[in-house]
Amino acid sequence: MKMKKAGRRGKREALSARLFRLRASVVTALALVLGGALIGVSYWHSSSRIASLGSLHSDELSSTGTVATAEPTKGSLEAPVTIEEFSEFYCPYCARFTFNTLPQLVEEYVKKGLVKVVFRNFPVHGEPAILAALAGECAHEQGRFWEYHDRLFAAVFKENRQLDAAALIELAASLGLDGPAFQECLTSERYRENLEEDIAEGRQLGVRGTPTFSINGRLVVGAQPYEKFKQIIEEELERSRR
Amino acid sequence: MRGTASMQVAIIVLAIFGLADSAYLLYEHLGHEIVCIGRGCSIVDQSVYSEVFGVPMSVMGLVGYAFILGSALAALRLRGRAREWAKTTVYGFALIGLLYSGYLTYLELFVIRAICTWCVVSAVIVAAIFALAAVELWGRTYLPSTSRARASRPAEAGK
Repeated sequence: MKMKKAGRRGKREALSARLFRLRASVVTALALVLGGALIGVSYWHSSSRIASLGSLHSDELSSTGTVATAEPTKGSLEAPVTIEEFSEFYCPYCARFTFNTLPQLVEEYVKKGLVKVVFRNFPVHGEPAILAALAGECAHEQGRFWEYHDRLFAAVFKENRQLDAAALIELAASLGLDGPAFQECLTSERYRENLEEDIAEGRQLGVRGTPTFSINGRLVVGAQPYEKFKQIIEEELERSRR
Repeated sequence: MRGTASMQVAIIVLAIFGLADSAYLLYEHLGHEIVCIGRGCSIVDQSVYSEVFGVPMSVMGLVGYAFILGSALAALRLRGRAREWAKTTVYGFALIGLLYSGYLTYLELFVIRAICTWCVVSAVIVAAIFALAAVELWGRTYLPSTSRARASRPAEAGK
């Protein structure tokens, strides 16, 4: 009698252990799937946010109102530190900043939402520089300023080209911008006034040559080493936290 | 039985710490200064990774710890099969939390390259909860000798 009872109990226990293992495995699988999905969605969402940091369109700028004019901006509009870069496509030190310092700043600060970089035109090398500045604004009109900016600096300083209007339009087309619209924008000099505003504002801030940077209003003249930018940015971040 | 109860109490205490930690991080996210080793907390908080679809990570933490706390309380109160289910639920939520915390810690270490003290604290808390919940759940299957020994001890004492 006793033996029989124990045997039945043993069977029941074995069954409940099997059920338990099944339940625990199902819950583990479910948790892995849910956790994985949560990570996937988060990862996808943050990647798309980073992608949109690169080229903010003028509409986005005006809707938040944090940047007075619709200037080409790299980075989060809520970033506590703003670097206004007064630059020109034919100035070698501007190119040095663009090739060496800017990528480090983007990696270290812009992607983390701590710094935004605003591009302001300050052409000093005559008519070709003015034309290139206008072309930059035309690329910005199509929401593709920074791509065009990188391509333009590369064309001038890595391929040693001087670009006339036709070459500027061709460059835009090679990046997949709307060629006819770009041509119309450039030849009509639609952004001449905007350009003059940039120059006037720069002069008012004390800009005399390129590149000059205004980091939260503090002027940095010339293609200073990355460490100099880092130091001022850190000071400004410290101040913004207080 | 006593083993299960003290385990659930430990999980409940950890979950309450987790809730407080998340609440503190939410307090920072809402624009207040908090105590932190280095400047990692505000760097991490201001990065693009601190929100997903407008939901701050600290709110995710609050929700996660609330689920864990709820099911651990249930495991403490309920009996029989319902208790087993509640224990499995604690384990499931803790596993999701562990995975997500792992992802966030990876972001801190290798992407943002800044460490937010209270985020690490949360990762440690959730890892501890998971360890306890896993032992509580799987221990019965894989450590049968200890549980049987524990169960038979009172009988022996009665002799």
